[in-house]
Amino acid sequence: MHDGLRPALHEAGGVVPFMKAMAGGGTVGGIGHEKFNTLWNRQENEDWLKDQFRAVSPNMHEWIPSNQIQAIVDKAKTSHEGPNWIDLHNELRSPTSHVIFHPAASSHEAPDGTLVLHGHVGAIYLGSTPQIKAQGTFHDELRETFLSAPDVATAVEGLKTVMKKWVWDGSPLPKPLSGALKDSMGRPIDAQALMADRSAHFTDMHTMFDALKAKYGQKRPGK
Amino acid sequence: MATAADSSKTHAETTLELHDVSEASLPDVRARLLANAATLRRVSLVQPGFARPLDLTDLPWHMLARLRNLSLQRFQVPASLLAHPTLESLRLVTCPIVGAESVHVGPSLTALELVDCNPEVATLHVDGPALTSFVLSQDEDAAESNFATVRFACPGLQALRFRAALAVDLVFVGPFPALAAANIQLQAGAYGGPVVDVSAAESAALLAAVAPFAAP
Repeated sequence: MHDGLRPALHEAGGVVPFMKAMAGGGTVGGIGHEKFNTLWNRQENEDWLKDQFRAVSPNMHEWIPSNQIQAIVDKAKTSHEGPNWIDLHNELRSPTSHVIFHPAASSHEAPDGTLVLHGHVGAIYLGSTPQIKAQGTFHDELRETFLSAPDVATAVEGLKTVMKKWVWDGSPLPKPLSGALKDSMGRPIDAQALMADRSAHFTDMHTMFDALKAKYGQKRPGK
Repeated sequence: MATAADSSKTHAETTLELHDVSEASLPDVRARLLANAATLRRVSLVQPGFARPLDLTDLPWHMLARLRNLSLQRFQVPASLLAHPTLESLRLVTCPIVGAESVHVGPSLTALELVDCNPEVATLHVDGPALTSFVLSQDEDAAESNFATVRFACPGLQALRFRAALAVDLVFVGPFPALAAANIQLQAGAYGGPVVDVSAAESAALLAAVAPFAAP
């Protein structure tokens, strides 16, 4: 990791203010936007910055994936919505344990014919093995949706659509759950309790998307 | 509409850089690789965006007999590519690695970087005699699989960076006389710490670096 990044983030007051400084044309600890772009292109710097961003709210899933930090800074720098993009990136998070995929999006059948659900890494386990089939594709859809959005409101709506496509809403399952499934704390899963939890979390996610769209999605000046 | 050929740069048929490879242009790309197989020394291919990795598993990589530097982004590749006999530098980004239970890195390889590659290979033997730099970075948002074991036996190693979201066994077979503590980074993700078996590492620096991760 580049020696200057740690003191720069310290001087800025954290990774989120650092991102806002980069987007706003500022220089922190000798790092301005141009140097930030150069540093980002080294994998170890990107990895470290992603870790700092995740550490703002540990054990959360970022609906705009963490490797979009540079893209968020660019959008904030060039968009009339400015730092709203960065605040959206920071606040659009859900507990990782809540991101369990709908069985139609990703699941598999155990040898005994029961259903094994998949989700975000850290959400659901079979024994001690995380069940994460297609989570790369899930994150790619989020990235593509975010990058193609011209404004915050469109981005939030698009990301919400991806959420609704992928996340299990607690609706009835096509077959019984595998008895070997464990939750993020390593506890056996009770199917009925899980369905109730999923339904509540799905509603919470809806509410969060709508609230952040209202908070950070601005109309264009003059429109 | 731009094609892969439009945006490419060729230098006396020794270099091929294509930064907009797509499913539609892939047949042309394969043809160019094979047509210049005898002379190509440097190849860099990027599939931009977030489409599924394009399949290059059946390309006869061994026919690129002078290939020194290879960088690929979003292509599925065979595990045997890591063992290519003339490669000196290999960088794979979001490239699923398939087709073998275990693989040894090539004898000429000096730098190997694997980023978000989701290998379906059980054991990676990092035992190239020329290897000086190894990087494996697996982000939690991309992780769907990892090597079960990575076995280091490369006395020329100078820099090691390993960042894995999923659990993996790291086995060190020393010595590593050129490896300085300042150039070692081992990091577990939140979803499985690496279990390290320091079987014969004689480097005090390496031992100090891996000790915090040693299995109880």
